[in-house]
Amino acid sequence: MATSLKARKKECIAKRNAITLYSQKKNDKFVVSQQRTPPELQRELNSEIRPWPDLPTEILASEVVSRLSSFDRIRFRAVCKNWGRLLPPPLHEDNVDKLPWLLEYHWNDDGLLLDEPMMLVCKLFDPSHHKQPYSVDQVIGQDIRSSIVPKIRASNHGWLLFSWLKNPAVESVTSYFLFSPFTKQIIALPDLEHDIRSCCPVHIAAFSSDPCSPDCVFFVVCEKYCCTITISTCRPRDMSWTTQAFEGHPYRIQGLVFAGGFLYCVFVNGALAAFSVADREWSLLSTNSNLRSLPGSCHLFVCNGQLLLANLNNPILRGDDNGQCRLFRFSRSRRDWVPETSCLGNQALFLGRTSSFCVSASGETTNKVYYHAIDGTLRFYSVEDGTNHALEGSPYAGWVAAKGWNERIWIQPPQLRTNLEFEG
Amino acid sequence: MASSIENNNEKLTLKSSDGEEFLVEKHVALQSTLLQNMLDSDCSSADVIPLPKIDARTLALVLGYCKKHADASSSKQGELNSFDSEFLKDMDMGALFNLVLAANFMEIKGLLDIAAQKIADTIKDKPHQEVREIFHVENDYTPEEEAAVREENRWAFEGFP
Repeated sequence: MATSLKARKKECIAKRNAITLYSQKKNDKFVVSQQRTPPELQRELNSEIRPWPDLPTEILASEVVSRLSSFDRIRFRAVCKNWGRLLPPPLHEDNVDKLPWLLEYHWNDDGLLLDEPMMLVCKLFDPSHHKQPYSVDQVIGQDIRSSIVPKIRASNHGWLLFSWLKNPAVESVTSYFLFSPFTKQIIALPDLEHDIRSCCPVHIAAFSSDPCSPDCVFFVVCEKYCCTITISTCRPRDMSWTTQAFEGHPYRIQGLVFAGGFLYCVFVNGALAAFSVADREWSLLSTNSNLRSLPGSCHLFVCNGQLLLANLNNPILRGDDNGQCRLFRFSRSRRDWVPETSCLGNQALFLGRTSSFCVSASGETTNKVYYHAIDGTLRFYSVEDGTNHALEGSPYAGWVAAKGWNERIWIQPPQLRTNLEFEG
Repeated sequence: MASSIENNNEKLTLKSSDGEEFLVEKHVALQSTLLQNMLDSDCSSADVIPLPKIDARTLALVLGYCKKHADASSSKQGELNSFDSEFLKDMDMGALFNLVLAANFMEIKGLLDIAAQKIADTIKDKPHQEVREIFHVENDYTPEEEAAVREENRWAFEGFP
């Protein structure tokens, strides 16, 4: 800061000196022009055309690119090499681009009969770009000819983590892969073998960061009958999973979230456990919770550095609009959940089967909880006044559901990719 | 800052790149952070301040903007907003381009904001080929390179030529 002030001062002095010199020379010829009105000038200006590339790229990058949507930024890069080299600045805090997109997908399994590979059909809707959703069709892997379609186990950072049984007759081997509907990239993960004698009725997954980053950790958590939980982890390019079993855990996992080096697991009765990635240690943070027998679904998420639980009592099930979303914050001192009565604090919460998360929001979207209602519609709940709403008036109002019972997922758009380098 | 309020009637002279001089009231000039810093660091207002990067026509537009914003009281935000949207209406790219450079050089944040927004609005929802024409940008990608850029993030080109 000090140096920049100093530089500024220096600049001003230099300018002043220049001005002084100028005044000395031309002091006698003072002509103060009459100011003309802007409209006249504008007409004159209109007749002149200046070539655009003279505009310094730093102004383009700092002032213009930041005002474009992610769609426009990508096409911006295709204009010329100079523009392509401008790295997109990070998205603004209040930028509507931060809102997740809506992904709707189904498997086109016509190929089953014809013994052709299955195709994943995705429809994506961008809330900041009020256009029709666009479709992505992808044949995923020539070898997926299973009679059981791959299922999304987790979603994060613009990626979907699928699992499928390679051979339904041998239920002990599960295959995993990641797919990005934005770039159509597929990342294969090692197969995971389960001990078939204690087969796993519950098995959920998560991953810590962008799967393209070498630091990313993938987790598969299996709950077995005899009070055993296994946590399998692997990193990108690992050849196999590392699995560890822990005894004496609470019953029935409800959700996973990764934060600050720990994988947190919440159980049906509100019990909470954490798995440390660094030490590979499992610890129970709360066993005897006051959250027993909550109706509806529970979603674990992180908001402003706190671990929170959203309990969604789906209104459609009760046939009225009085359902509600209750928020609980985990208190480490009390080792239990405490009701979170304050609002989300300029955040919008998105609840989903495969991931639940908060994003910074502004205006209308703050303190709202967006969720997939049980009847297949999308709704949001206002934390401030406890009311439920259909999507009209929200950024997702333009979305029209496809026919049928396709699953919908909130998906965060990827960081723009700028891997390509050009010469010159 | 205190010194800027003392002499409200003081005027200073700005000189454009093509030699025209503009006499402006000091409180109007203070819309520009550059001029404000120069005055704060003891540049005498009796001097002529040269703006070697800004031509007379652009400078007149800039000063028109500054005058409106300096004179309007803070309670007339709505009026200022409608002035701003009218100000750039029908302006061609060449003029807009000069205005952005001037606002950037003179550090007039409000003007830079609206001019940059206007440029962004021009780019929005247009195919990149059309953006090239509007901005007179030469396409220096080879067909292979351009295809690679498109392939990299194919989803953004969906529905575009």
